[in-house]
Amino acid sequence: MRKLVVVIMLLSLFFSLFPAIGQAASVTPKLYLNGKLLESQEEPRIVGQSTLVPVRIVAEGLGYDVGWNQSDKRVDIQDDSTLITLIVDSRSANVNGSVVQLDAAATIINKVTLVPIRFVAESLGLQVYYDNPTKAVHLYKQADSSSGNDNSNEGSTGSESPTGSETSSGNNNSNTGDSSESSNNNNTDPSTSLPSNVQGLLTTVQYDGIASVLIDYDGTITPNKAFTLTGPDRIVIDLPNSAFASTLSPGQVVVDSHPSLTKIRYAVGPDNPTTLRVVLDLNAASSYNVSQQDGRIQIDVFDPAVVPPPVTTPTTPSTGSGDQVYKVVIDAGHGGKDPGAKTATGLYEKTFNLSIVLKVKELLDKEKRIQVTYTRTGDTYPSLQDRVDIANKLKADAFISIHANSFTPATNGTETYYNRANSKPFAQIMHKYLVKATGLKDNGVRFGDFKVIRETTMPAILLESGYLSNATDAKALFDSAVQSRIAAAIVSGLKEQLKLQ
Amino acid sequence: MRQLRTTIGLLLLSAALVTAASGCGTKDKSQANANTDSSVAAAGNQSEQAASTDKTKQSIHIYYSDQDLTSLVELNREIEYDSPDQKVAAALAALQTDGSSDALSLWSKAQFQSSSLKDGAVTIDIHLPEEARLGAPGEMLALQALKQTLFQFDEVQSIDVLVDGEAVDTLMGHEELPHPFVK
Repeated sequence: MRKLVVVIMLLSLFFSLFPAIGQAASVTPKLYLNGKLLESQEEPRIVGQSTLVPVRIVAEGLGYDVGWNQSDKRVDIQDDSTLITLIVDSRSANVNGSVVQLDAAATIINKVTLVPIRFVAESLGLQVYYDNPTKAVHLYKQADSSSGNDNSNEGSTGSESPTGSETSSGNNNSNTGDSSESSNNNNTDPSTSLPSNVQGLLTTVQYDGIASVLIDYDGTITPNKAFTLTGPDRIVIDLPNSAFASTLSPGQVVVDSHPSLTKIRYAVGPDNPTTLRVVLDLNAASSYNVSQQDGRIQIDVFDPAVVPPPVTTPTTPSTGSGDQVYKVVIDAGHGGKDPGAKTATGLYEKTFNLSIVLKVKELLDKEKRIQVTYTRTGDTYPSLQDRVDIANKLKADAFISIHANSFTPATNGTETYYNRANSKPFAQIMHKYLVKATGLKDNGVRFGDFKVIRETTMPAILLESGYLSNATDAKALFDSAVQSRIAAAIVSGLKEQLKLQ
Repeated sequence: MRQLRTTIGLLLLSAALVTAASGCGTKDKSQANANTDSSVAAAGNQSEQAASTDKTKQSIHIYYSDQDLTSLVELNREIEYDSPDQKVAAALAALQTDGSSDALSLWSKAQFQSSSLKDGAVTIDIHLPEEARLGAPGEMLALQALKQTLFQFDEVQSIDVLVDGEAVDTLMGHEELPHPFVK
């Protein structure tokens, strides 16, 4: 029996709303297949160093045959060519008859059977990338084995019936699967089934051996503005409306001759199947420059130990030479295990903060003279020290921390906080835009003794847009139009501070 | 100098005695409680029992916030206790109830799971339900209120705040939580 690969396309709504439960350090890991978030009722978990996922995801999300033997407590996972057998709580597994030692055993938690996803996916021939900061596991299935998504229903009704018999007869020829699949699937050739919005094809990703990453493509690719992430340090560039050429599949290049660049990874991005993402892994925060011409995107990564040549040394913003690029850190407060404040209706401050930051990012992506580092762009928890270190190491020109407030149901209004004298003018500039955008009571600019604005060294402010504990404020802050106004206000305030108007 | 040392010695000794006494006396205390509940209902839910024992009454400063989280408000409140641990617990309990309409508790929704005072070191284990998480100004004032309230006791030299038993790096995500706060 040939196992037809069934990929259930779940809505990839980007919920980052998993409340922190369990131990304080736990972040709920997420699982993506070819860039699509796989959701399930039961959550994946991190046990030790391994991510375990409910076996139901392997069956429904990834589309493999899963069998369960109650008396042996045995999980069988199989496709055309591979049979994996895991015993609950046993550190040894069996792949096509060979015994394999595991880092983490399959386990049962709250009646949900969980299996180590890296082991299972790699045994089945999937590529696995683990993004530690977001605890995201990205799985990639080659086009030739995952095509036919659209026809999966038709295909499964046609050929899924007598399970087991052929597999037990030892059918390990994957061509059988492919050929029968193509018989009921017109678009097995990936190049003919590209989504209509794809305008460019990535052909090569390489390191030039000196200091630059070269991304070559056919057609048209307009990259989004690159941004940096930390813990570990990375430079990320997204390529919208793009796909891999048939000669290139998701992969990575290990770099060992650069002072800070260690690896280049390229894959389908987390948000959109037609946005490719190239990630430059760094062992230290590094300045960079992105340029583009004649079908090539070039990212120069500068040695962090050397002051990067193109950035002018500390001139004051007021002398604002025509094309100086300013470095800015935008900090979405809380995140991950720390939900921050909560509205009476159960909405979290961390969600509000991130929502504003993502809207700010959309606007700042268009600003050529502002290079932005985000302390988080997902539901993660950088420590307060991490946030301070990011800004100070970068020698950023400005730091903005985005929060929402909470006290009694009667307390309301918008406040902007500064700590050091060099931050007060920035707070005053920002507050006038912010209070107008929120439309809430004006509580003014205030002094605040908070770590991220105290221990940073550049002008740094913390925005408390309103009180989530107050029903009126909370309603406004979770209103999409108000959020867009707040994001626009933050950009206006930042540009006035940097004299970029 | 010698006098100071003697005083500290005496304090430690009495602390040890009280701890020992309360250790073996738990049962008695709960019985006493039950008695009080039935006979002197008017005493309300206030802790421990009757006036016959050597309970100490003391008027102390408790710190609250104004309506708008702009400054701490100091009020005098009376606490009763018969052990150092109870003294800390009573002060914490006072921090959790509003002083007046413009002296609002910053700790009303937090849960003090346990507290102790030993050798000058206060240890408080807090559980923080989601609705107890304040914004940046609230967290700053809450920590100041806690410190000023407990550090007014001469014998308190340090305060270690744990969350569900763990020494976390921050209580509510805006300010660092040193382990411990030192006077």
